[in-house]
Amino acid sequence: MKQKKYEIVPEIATADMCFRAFGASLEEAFANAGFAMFDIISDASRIKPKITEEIKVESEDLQALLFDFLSELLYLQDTKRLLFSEFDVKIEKPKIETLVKEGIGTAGSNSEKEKYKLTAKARGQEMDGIGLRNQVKAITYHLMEIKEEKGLWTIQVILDL
Amino acid sequence: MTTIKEQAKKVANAVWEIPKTAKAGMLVPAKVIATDALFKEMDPGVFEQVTNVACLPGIQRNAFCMPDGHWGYGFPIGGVAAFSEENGIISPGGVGYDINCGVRIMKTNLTLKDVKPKLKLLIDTLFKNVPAGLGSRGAVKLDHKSFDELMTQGVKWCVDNGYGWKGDIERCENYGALPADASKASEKAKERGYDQLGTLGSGNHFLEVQTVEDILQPEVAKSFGITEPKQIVVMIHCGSRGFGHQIASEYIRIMDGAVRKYNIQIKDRELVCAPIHSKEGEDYYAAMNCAVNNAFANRQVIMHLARKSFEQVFGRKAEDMDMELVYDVCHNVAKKEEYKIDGKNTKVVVHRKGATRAFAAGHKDNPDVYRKTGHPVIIPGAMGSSSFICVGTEKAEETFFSSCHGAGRLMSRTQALREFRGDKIKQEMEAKGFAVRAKSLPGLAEEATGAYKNVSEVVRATEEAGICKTVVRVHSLATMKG
Repeated sequence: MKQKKYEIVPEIATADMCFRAFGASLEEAFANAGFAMFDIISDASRIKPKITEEIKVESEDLQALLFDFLSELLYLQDTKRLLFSEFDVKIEKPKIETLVKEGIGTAGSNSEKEKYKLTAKARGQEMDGIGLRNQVKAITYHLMEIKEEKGLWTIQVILDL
Repeated sequence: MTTIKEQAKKVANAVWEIPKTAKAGMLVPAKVIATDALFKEMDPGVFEQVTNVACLPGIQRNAFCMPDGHWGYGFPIGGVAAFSEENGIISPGGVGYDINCGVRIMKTNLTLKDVKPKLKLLIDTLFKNVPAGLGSRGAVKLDHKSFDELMTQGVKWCVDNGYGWKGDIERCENYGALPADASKASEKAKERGYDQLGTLGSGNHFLEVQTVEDILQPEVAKSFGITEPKQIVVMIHCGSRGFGHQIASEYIRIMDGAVRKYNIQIKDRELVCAPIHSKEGEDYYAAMNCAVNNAFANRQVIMHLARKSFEQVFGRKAEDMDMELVYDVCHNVAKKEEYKIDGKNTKVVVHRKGATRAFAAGHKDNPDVYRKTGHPVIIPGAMGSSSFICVGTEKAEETFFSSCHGAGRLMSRTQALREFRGDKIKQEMEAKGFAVRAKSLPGLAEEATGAYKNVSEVVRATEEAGICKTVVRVHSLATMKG
């Protein structure tokens, strides 16, 4: 059975929305996290890949990288009135990885060389004419998880609605 | 092993205390304001989070949670905490992503019998005139210079540019503007904000036409401008929109670096913070206030559009219908205030996330027009139910003059979507004589009355705890949602 891109986790957050995105690689999981967010905002199957936006973020740890990637997508949604459904994601990890212990980043270096770097192409279209389901206000760190088990990457995120 | 909730003891009417021993690192006990019924149904996340807040540096007296509290992120929704300016922190997690989400109420001299025959036309006109819902564009187009002015001047900018009356400034919390610095709001945040002025948003934001049902303190109500049973009022609930959300997100990331730089221990990444007088702390305060002022301006413009709508429907000037602002309150904000703590006058930053300030009668920081009575404390209920106007008491000094903010969610959005259907809710409400207009029917289901706690019970908890007294109860007549 083909691994689904994501699933909603209904009982975790009262006022917000929690989802888990999956991937055979970290990058695929990030791409599916983007897809999940826009499937929550709208109906991703109605979003045609007509316009491409390039995204570049650099962050001190993986959770911050995910936060920054999804936040950038929300910024593009609001300012360019775009919705996205397809993502090509490339992640470059630093030589020494910053561990996120119990949700808090341990002392990492601020040096440019040691940041996590993400570049992505997001494909989508203008929002006018596409039904919107939910307003996502922001990404939260709450109960955020990025983990790998037996070759499957799982990303859990709670969105503030 | 006893849970944190099980360690709470009732120490006074509707006041539950969790001792410092409940969690390693707690600097002060936590206190939850709730009736027995509300306490019983409060989710475990509230107790986890309020005790995490009690661990933050510089916290004074207690970490509080109000009776409408539920699990949020960082602070619980309903969370209140004051930190000393001298050695305490400021945290975006104690304010929320929707900076200055808040509510205002405007009065009229109309009553139900004036409005009932034209109710459908009124709600249709409001629905047409007030931009709402996902992807809606602003009612007012701003250029860069105007937006910079607006985010520092708040309500005053609106009044100076024809979107209100002078009296509106006098009847707004902090006179509709807090000290802000437009240079501390990023270009990205501003880009999100230019096209959203005067938009209602969606989710739990709303515009309601309401009737006055019970006047419990006639003298105080009179000074608020509420005098008649079935008097018509208008309530507006919304926040700082994309501009505020961007500022909140960006400063959470800046504070990610600050907790490492200043070696601050936090139990939850959503509690990232900085010392109040650090560069990061002061920058956040100045940027947060840009969003605060933007939200005040947003509600002001929507109120202006509501006045225009009434004019169109009733063929009279808004001035002739006495459509004055009663008051506007924040319920997601951090404020610089002063309290006597252990005998010393102490400057603090009070964080209220899903909580409302409630100064008592005579308090010097009431706006002039409400110094004698204390300012109105506006508590909106769930859609189609009652809302309340209350007033703070002297005893509220114990909670840093803080009270609840609304009904508080009981059910997750996904559960609400399973239990309720938007079209059925609309039908049922219309059958009862209410008018409902919504941009999104699923959104309506998520906002069903049953998805929220009983707001009367929430307000009763604040009365039992002695921190608030009810002045007026109003009830929904027509609701507009994004």
